[in-house]
Amino acid sequence: MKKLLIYILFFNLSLSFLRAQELQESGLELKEFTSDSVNTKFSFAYTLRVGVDLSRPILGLNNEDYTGFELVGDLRISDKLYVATEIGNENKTSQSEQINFTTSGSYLKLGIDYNMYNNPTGLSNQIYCGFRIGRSAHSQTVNNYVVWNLNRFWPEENSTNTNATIKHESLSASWLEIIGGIKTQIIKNIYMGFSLRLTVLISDQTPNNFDNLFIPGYNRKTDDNNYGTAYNYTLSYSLPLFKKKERM
Amino acid sequence: MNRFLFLGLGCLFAVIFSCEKDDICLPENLTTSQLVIETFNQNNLEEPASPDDFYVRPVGTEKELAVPSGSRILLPLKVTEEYTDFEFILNYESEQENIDKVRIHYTIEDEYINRACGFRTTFLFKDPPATILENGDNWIQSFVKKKDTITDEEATHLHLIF
Repeated sequence: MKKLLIYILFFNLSLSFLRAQELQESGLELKEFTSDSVNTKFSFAYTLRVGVDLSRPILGLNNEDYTGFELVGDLRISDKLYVATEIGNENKTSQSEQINFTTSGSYLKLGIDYNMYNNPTGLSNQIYCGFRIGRSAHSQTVNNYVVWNLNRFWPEENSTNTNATIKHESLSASWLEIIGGIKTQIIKNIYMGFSLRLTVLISDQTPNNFDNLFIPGYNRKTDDNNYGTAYNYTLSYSLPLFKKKERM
Repeated sequence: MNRFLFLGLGCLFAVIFSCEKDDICLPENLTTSQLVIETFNQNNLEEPASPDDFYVRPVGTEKELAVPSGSRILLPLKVTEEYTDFEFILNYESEQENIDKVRIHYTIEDEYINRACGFRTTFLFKDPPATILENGDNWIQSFVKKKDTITDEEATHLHLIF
């Protein structure tokens, strides 16, 4: 709970900076548009934005046990609503207490973002909240483990199962994400964004005699509850498809 | 503005990576069990009895087991091999010392418990469950299997008849 409060605090702080800056910029742009057309204004554009998550490749750079990428996209379908998606792939070798295992697989997330930020015409900056439904298709490989034994009589090499490589294929998981985030235009048509996600695991197909300790796209699955957190840090390019006109 | 953005995100990253809960395997979870043997005199199979100056020494290690008190002994089995050897010693450290080298035969099944504990081993006896490796002057008459699997230490798995 304390962790959540800290998130919200930082989130609000960064938002207030953004807002102050944007309002100054928007004053200028609005003037240009009104002098341009008398009776028509562009209420919004059907903008398609595609991009990549920067955090996953960066994590992979200094960690040889992890590789991952994520493509992101959103389509503005009304003044406030965006259909959004993430598609990604992750390979991760983890040492979880006694067990060393490798997870690899892909995931797809689909959902809606609701923009709470009033954009000057022509921009798609976002301070948004939204949701995603996520699904993964992955495999888990147990590489080795130390057998749990309260009575450690035999030395370590006699309690480490190193030739136990078992690959569990065709696994899946479904989850729900509640999202808060921002997207800001940094150069024309280039947006940078950050989102924070609270995840709830709905169901997962667990391997026989093992568990989905890590799920691509979802992150770490814990023993004691179904909640988790995730984030991404995106750089995207916006392609205006066509503009919707509205009579004043 | 971007400077603030980076600063804010940097702080968020720090928060995300700084706290991760530790997983602790609680003792109430089932652990890998030891082999439980009870000793019986061949003349009385009803009442467990202790052989005279009885001691068990595991083969392949310098470590020693505690001197058994009573007729019930607990022996740790190797979890990476399908057998463990022990020396069952009668009249330990005396003139009439008699050592029987015994091999316990089993197969291994590792059972997943949870994230913190990982796997524990259960053992399934092969047939025969125990053999005396050196024939000769053996003081052990036979072993009688009482359980097929070793999953806990509540019940006795093997009876040793002398």
